[in-house]
Amino acid sequence: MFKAIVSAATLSSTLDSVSVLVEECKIHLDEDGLQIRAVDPANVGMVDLSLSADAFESYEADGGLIGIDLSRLEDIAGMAETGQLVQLELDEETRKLQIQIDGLEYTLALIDPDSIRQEPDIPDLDLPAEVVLEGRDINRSVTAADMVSDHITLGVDDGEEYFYVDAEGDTDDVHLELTEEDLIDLQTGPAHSLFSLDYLKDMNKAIPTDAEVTLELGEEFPIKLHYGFAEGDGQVTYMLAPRIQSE
Amino acid sequence: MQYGELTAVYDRLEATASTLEKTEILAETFADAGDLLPELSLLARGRLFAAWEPDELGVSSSLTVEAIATASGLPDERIEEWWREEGDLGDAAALAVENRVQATLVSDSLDVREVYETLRGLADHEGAGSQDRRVGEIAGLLGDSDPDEARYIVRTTVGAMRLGVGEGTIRDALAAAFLDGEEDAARAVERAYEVTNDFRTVSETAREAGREGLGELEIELFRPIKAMLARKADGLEDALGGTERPVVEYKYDGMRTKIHVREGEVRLFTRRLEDVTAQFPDVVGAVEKEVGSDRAIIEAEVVGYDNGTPIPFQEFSKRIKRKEEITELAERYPVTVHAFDLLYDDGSLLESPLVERLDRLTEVLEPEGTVRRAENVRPDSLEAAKTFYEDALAAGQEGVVVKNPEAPYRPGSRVGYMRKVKPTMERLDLVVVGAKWSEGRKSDWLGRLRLACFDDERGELREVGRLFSGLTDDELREITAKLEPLVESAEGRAVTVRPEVVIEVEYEEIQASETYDSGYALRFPRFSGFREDLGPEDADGFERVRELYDDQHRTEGA
Repeated sequence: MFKAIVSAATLSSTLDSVSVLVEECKIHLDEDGLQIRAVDPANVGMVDLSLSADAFESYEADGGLIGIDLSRLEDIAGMAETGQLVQLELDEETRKLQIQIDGLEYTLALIDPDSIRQEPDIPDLDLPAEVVLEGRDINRSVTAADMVSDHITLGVDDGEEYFYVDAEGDTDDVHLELTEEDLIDLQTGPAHSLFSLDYLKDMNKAIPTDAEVTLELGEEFPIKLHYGFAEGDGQVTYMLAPRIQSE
Repeated sequence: MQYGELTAVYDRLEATASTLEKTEILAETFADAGDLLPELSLLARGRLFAAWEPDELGVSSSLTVEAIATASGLPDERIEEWWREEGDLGDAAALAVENRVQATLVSDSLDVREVYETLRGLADHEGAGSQDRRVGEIAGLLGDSDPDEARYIVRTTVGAMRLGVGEGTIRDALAAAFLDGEEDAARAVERAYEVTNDFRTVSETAREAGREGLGELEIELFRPIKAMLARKADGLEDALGGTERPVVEYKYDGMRTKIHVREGEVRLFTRRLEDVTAQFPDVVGAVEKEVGSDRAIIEAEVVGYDNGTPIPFQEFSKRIKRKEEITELAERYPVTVHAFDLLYDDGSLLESPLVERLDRLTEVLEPEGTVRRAENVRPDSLEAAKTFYEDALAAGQEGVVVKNPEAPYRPGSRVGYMRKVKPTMERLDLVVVGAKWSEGRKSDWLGRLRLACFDDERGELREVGRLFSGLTDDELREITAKLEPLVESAEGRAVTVRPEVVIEVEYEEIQASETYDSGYALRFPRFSGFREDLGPEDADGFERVRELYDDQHRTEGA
């Protein structure tokens, strides 16, 4: 069984963080909250999300698994006004999700979870550098880099102790340095990797500007981006594989 | 089985030109296939669906380029450049994977079943976002591929394996793997394939139940089977020769159709095994009303009439592609369904002699119905046959078909149980494999079509000439619209296209020629129409071209 009431804003944030990578996902409805894990079809980007029962107005579940079409559910959640509550209830008989928003009832057909791509195993990454910064700084970096290139280099200068962003275009370049004073926290280590902006732009869209985001980086290694939402009751970790740098 | 093991088999098949060796390689692969045998029996030719299955992948070359770009992190332009250079999108994919610039988070080795099921699943996507999903799924496979795996995944996706493996090769390999490989073993496999059009069933049955099991496979209603093909005769006398009181019928220029009836429900299939039930509600209605059998397969030519005159097939066949205005077309050109065979009536009749099938056909039809027997006689003299032939031509039909009254029905074969007699030099149905952008006023259009016939033996297309003339502006426009989306590569103004468009071609004669890889060239080929109802494998075969060439010489020598 599954029956929950949640604010429209929390529901939307949850769905948006996953839909940047995939169109369908499985949701584990555990007793203490829900879990979503998904990898994009090309195996380049991954999301691992949990939303604790505390983020809900009320929450009852007993370990079920459902498959949903994300954009459908996002559209429905979008019908709610800010601050409105959304009630979700799983009809076990019909395998449909009953959604109520202030008198509006919507019955959403679920997707057979077996038909959705298998959930990935989270790669075990031990990354030497850690940068903690505000969502707005990621937004600034990505937006600037996108003006000149399709890729972005993220790195940490081990000696000088700063985090940097590089993007090289055909004619124009972008460079940004953030020292310890600009950052919330910095643990230096050898880090320098190139990433596709296509993916980072999408992930950036889901990251709230006032969120505290932890980046973990290495040398030509995947990046991990971690942030909390719903007042800390929700946690998202993105992982993104680097581009291979020739030479 | 890892997909890499299958690509090693593909590489071996590609490396040899000998059909015998290809057969051996496949026989070995099938014998070791274990529970993957059904899948491998299709994948050996790069197929994902059995011939009778209506599904299509719905993946164009440009979507595939997008998937290669996503998986490799390389720009589309780079992949298109390789594609032009290599002339094969699979080879371009191999290069892209070799030079990929995007790493993945997780990398799994691919197994055969995963590739088969993922690609088959592409056909299920519908509606908004389905193209993106197809791109994503293919990219996912390519992300896990090594260069060789990427090559064959892409070739399978675009439907061009380039391995020279035809249905005949699969048949012989199955016979060699599971029966003793003798001549009649190949025939047992062939018969089983004729009635099922599904190598998955045939391969498993051959392995589990041998010849006896294959013999028990039968036609099933609503699962289409191929048409028996007629040979061309040199005139009426030639056609009648040697057959005691043959059955002679009008040859109609219509849509050859198999009408399946099952407990009151009707389905129509074309000779390409396409379900066209929705386009012919008038035929369905007539069959429901008139046919006196609950379980039957009737074969017929459906002809549209304009005030009693048959309308040319080129016109009529437009209905096959139609989705709208069906009712209006049906009212404007009422059809007659000229039935000429009964392949099933509460059980298969394929092995019954023609005369018996026809007697039962007469019984299940109404004499003056919309579905009625094709005009027919059993002439006892050449004179009688001639009169009938002249009547057929006077009625605006194409000619006659002369049939052996004792013969069984052999789906998909040109065994000589039927011979057609037509007054004109026989036209050929050929596949367009390339074209050239025209010059001057017509420079927006593709012309100079490169034509090919299908070589059953090798499962390949072989070129027989170039068509320069006989095209009106409207036809050039239509040809361009059809060919442009199929363009695979370009060199200057010349383009190579995916072999999908079949056209009917007239010509003066066939010459021996070094210019084309078939060894023959058509002299003065002229365009005479599109064959919407035919796919590249239904085009006239290399055998047919050779026969026609030989016939010309026999006549000249005489």
